[in-house]
Amino acid sequence: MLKIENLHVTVGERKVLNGLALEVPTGEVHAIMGPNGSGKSTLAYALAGRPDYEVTQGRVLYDGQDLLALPAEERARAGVFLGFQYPVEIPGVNNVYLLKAALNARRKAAGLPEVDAFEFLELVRGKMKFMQMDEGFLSRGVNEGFSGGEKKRNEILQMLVLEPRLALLDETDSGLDIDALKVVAQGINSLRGPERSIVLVTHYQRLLDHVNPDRVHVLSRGRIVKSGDASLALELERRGYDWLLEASAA
Amino acid sequence: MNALARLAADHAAVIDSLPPAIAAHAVRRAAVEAIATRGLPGAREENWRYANLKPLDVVRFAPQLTIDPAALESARSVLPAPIAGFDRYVFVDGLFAGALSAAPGSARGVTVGTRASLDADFGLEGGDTRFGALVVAFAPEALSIAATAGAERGIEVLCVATAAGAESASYPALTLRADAGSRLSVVERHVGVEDRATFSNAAIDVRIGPGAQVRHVRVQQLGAQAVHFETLRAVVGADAEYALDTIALGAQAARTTLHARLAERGARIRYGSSVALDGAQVNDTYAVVEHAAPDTETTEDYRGIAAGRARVAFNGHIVMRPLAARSASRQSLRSLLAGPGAEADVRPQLEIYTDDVKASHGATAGKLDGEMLFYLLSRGIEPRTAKSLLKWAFLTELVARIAIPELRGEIERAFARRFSGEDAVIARELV
Repeated sequence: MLKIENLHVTVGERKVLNGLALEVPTGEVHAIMGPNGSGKSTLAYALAGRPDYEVTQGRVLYDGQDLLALPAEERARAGVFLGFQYPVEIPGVNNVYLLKAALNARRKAAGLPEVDAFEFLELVRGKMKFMQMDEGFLSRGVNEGFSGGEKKRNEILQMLVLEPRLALLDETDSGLDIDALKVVAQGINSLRGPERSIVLVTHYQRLLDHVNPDRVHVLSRGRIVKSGDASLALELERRGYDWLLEASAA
Repeated sequence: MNALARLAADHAAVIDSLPPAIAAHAVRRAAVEAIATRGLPGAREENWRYANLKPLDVVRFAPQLTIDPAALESARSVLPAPIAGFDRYVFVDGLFAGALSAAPGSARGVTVGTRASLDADFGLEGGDTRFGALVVAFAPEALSIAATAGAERGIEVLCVATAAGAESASYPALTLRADAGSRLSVVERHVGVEDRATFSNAAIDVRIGPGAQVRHVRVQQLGAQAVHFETLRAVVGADAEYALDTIALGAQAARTTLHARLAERGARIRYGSSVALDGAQVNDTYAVVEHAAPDTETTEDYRGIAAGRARVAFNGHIVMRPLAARSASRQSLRSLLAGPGAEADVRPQLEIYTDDVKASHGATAGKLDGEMLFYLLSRGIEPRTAKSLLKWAFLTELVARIAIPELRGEIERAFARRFSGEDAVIARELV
């Protein structure tokens, strides 16, 4: 599904990713962990096509296709979804409008007709119930006045409606209380399937208690320095990152 | 003849015909003298540098003294749809048009009167409000609206400009009084005959008593050739609230001078202003909010969008006096350039005389927010559509606060008509 080779990314003057390589097979859930500033969010942004993140070297294949050649909106329509660490508030554009426009953009790219307005509302209501969200959110501006936890739920709601093939979730667990964490994890788990891949970018193990990853990778100074199975996350939780960083620096 | 000499000559010619009930002749003369002493505002003055003052060189300052039947017919043709629950009062070229208005008098806690007396000091105190003094000097009419506790009547004041500025000026004058504990809802609209170079200069004097609440929506949709000045003064009492929403789309050149004084403990103002311009339009606002008592609060938002070669300017000046302990102000002032020759100048200005206050401000100029844009793109939205959406969101954000659905809808439709191409398609979908 996703194959990253020798990825170098510069943000402003700063080189953040330095030859990162990663492969995520279809149907798997991978966790990217690492200390602050290691480049986790940069990886997520670069894959989603954020304009000010400059790829200076390397290649990213998504379903065999050159992902980096596509602008952000085409990546989304091709089934790549970024769950933001800090979802932006957009007063004046309402949630339901955005959801519908996003779903129709995705359907159009897949050669499907626009979604029926009634069916769409039914679909969204069902997903909202699952995410334990109040229906009043729909008529409000995108993320407008939402608490941190509500914004994260809204990201997962969007993901559930859009059903991406590759979901990149950037610190979706940060700022959530334990109940919200469970709801968000339930949302992520419901999307797991043989046709989809999920990349969880996270600083802590706690989300992984609820979403069991197939692989765990540790990112440091812009490269993957260690990969392992789910037990690596537990080891990191116990020992911290320093031992790994020292080993990789040596 | 220069503008001041013309002003004096025009005044001398009409003073004997102006009703003394609105302002005594001595008061009117004093106003003219005060302007003569200071001079009319000029583009070299800091607070006027963004206003278009050129029309002052050509207008006739004297007002009409009676409504001409043709003017009444023109006015009738541009009246917007009525608003349910609001009684309408109409000025035509600054004169009261009884034929188009509800009957003055008292009903459901609100008293509306014509020939209201204007404060002699209007335009002379509270900052630079020389255009306010001009209204005191020349106004042939003034409308008063007063609410008592338990009031439940909405009032719409419609000011129609029909006469060419080369022939006469229009001076709509309005006083709003909200007694202690009352609630008053006023919609004030300025409309005009399209393609007529009208000259209007309005004065609005607002007094809000303790615990009272005034919701004031102001909409300026004058014709494309119009020149419009307005001076608004508000004094807000203890624990009272003034909610002021201003929308401006019209006029070739428009200038708003606002001075609000939070005079007693717990007074609050929530001021929102949305401006959408195109062509060579200019809209300039100088707004002073003075915190003169403890625990007072200001929320101020500005959204100005300039297409073509238009120019939007907003100076939001907050003054925290020594007595304003524990007061707070929050300003969010933003402009957006939507044309290659457009200009924007938006700035917060703080003047603080006590430590125990909170004042925050954010101002952005020019471009659409990159974070918002990327968020929409990351959801598969076309860049052009995303930009149109953000433009629309920018412009309508504050309009959403207007609690009168039909008026809000009308404003949104008027904004949508301002958009073209993809922007217009999106706007029509969202209205």
